[in-house]
Amino acid sequence: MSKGKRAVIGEGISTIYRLVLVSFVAFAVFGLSGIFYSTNINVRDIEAEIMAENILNCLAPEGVLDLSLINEENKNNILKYCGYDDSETSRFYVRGSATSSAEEGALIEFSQGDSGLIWIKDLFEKTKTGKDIKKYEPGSFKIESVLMYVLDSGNKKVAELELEVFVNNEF
Amino acid sequence: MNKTIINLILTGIVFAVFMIALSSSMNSRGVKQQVLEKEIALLVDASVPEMEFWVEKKTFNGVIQKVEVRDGKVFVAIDGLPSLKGYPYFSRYNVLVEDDGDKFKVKIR
Repeated sequence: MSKGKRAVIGEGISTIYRLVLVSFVAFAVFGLSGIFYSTNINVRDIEAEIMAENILNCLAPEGVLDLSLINEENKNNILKYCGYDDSETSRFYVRGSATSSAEEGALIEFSQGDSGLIWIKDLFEKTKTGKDIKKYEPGSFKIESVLMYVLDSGNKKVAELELEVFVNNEF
Repeated sequence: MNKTIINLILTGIVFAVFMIALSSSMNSRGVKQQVLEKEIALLVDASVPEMEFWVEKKTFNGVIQKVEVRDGKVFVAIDGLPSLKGYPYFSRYNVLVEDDGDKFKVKIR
């Protein structure tokens, strides 16, 4: 190989090296600035609140919960009972119960979804996490007590409904 | 001399690409898009049949080119930035979006 040809190859390699270096610096700056400029707006708690209200309106539209309408299968698929598709509710976990008196116990208990969201939520609340991890925290909303009528085998009773909704992240 | 010019051109191209990518982050189109998608999704979540709301195409935040509802998600294209991920909504009802001149009408049926 002639000296001239070697020099051309050497220059080519040198150019590629510089280009790679410049690209690396540019992408490093871009990556860092991307982290600072990106932001995530968390609306999961609001989604949980809206879902809780929708379920409440579905179960007791006029303030009366008719137990005869909710069979055993529906109790474990309460979102499906309320007309939601599985694809829409895959991020949700819902659980609730209606209690007339302490002696009588729960008149009805219902749920749907992945209960693992409860301990994920607990984990986030008990541990300090950075901003990047915090964006994965599930949202939640709890209705402690709502008074309503429950129709149980034709008997109208006053009951307290408790409802909890958890929403997983959308990523 | 030629080598220096080629180096300058290549470096210039790399930085031009870098600046274009950075400017799209800095002008916050992504944040505006995220806000609009989430606002629309929450409005759909809370809506009941026969309700409708509209989104103006020209706002002080930019120009909205497209509002689309597909596969249980809301997609908004703003200032030329297409939406790739969208934001999921939940509704027991049918959700329709109509292009109505200077606004997009979102109808719940």
